[in-house]
Amino acid sequence: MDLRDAELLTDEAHAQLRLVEASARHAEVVGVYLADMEPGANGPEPTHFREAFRRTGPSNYAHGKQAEL
Amino acid sequence: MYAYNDFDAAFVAERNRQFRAQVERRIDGSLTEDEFKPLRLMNGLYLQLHAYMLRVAIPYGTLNSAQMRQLAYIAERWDKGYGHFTTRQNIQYNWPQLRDVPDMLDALAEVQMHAIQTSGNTIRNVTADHFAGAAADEIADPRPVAELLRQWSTDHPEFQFLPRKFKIAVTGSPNDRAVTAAHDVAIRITEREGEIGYAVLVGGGLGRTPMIGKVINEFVPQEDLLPYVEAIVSVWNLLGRRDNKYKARIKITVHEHGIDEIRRLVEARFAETKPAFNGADLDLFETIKAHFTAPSFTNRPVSAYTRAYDNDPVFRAWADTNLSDHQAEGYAIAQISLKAHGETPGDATADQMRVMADIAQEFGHDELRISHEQNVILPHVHKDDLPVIHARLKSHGLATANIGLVSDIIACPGMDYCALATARSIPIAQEIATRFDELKIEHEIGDLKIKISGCINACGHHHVGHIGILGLDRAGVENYQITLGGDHTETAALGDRTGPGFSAEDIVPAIERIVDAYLDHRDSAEETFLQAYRRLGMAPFKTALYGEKADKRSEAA
Repeated sequence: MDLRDAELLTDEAHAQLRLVEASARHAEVVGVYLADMEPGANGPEPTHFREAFRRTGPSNYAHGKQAEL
Repeated sequence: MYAYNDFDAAFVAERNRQFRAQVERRIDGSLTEDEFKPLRLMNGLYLQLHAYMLRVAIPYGTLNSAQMRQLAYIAERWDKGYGHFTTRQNIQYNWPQLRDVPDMLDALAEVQMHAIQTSGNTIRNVTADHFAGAAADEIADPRPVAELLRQWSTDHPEFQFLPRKFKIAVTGSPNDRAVTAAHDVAIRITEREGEIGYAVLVGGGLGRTPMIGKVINEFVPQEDLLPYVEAIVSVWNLLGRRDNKYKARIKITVHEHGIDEIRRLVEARFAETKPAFNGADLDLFETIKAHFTAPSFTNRPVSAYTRAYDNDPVFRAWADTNLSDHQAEGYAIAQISLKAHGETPGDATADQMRVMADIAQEFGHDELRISHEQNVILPHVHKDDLPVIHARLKSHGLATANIGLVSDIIACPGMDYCALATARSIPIAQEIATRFDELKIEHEIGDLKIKISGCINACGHHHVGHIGILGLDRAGVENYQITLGGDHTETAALGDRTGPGFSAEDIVPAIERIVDAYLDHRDSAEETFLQAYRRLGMAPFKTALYGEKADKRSEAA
């Protein structure tokens, strides 16, 4: 899973629809929500530090997504 | 220590069997997350920012070497090779795969451990003084009472859907090392005319609305303890604010109704609960007590200890900070710091867990304790063995001589792991510890407790830190508020806010300015930070933080 391939949704109604669709895939994902992003050179970038941390992993060990990249 | 009887073992095995089936149904899609959530929370399984998290109870903080080795095995086999000890005497695994959790629970059951009631609106793991059964100042060992409360509260049919979580702490010493005043119910062993009884406090708690517990009964005799505690929980179960989760804890109930009214209601309810207890609780208490007999201490010289103390400055520094007085002559309580400078507070690797288990087995009557301060304790070690123990700890990064010092920081997992957090805690703790280690002044500073929480829920106990740090999200940026003058002991007090918070970059220099102000203003090296704060008040610290003008302005305002 790479954020460079992520789609940035700009239409609120579209985003809500995608949220409903994603929420239905309950065997694959849990805790689905919409997060604020802005376009960047390497795909969408989170605007809030919480999402930035979730995208990488904890800062005390190189675990989580940062270890998988 | 307590050993499971057949009933306990069968109960845990049955719960694990049920949870295994629930996990299978979740994985095959028959259960949604919404359906699965209450089931996983019954078994200590949380969903955090990056993965599930399994919270395992360490009842009243007591472990034997086999249990510690099993925690190490679980960390290696199903997690990333480490575990995180928490402020409520639990251990958390941050990276379990859902499909592995039933195996982890079975592995725990092999050593008589579980994760039941480590989450949800239930009575949580009963905590106790980590020096229990060893401390020189102890009236009686709090662990038999804690175990009695655990057995009574586990799967108690009336208390599985409480208004909110409920935390009980027990101390057997007048010097409160278990932060009892910050618990929903505090039980303090006391003695009256030769009779052991319990002073009971109610309505303490940190979090969004911090409160110090209030005395509801100064002396509850042994035969009344369980019916009395049951009366308290029962009164709150009906009265507690289920309409608003921020007002649901018993501290709010006590605050809204007043301690006198709560006491009256509890007395009335007690009149009903008492006759329902037929004395089986007292028999059980006696049975439990027999599990906690003191080890057979030996009387031998301490010449190796004296030699090392006199000749090895590194050992002496460790002995001066990390040892406490033991009941038995020639013995000491040794604290193993999980706060090596720059490391994550409360984390231990599987290797370190095994080292501690081996030492406990070889030298420590097979006992280990976990403190709410996120350190590990060898409660019963003979002083003559300490040089060997110290050398072994040192070779595994476990001999940091900083217990009670500025780098012995409590820190919650914060936004590095926790879904509730509003800012990170761990890197702030790491940076503060690293900075004061560079300055080489922590022994000069002396007793100073810094406690950091990454959100208002206050798992890091920031309200009762001499210096408390609270991480918040201010307009999308991490911001850290400081409180001063908190106290977690028998003289419990909540800290006072200094003023505006600091950014992640500015918080460490801010803490350094506070410590410098203390060193400048203390009347002698003997006056601790807390004593100096109580004498001086906020003013000199405010000036140190915000400058002369800011201080004047805030005084005028």
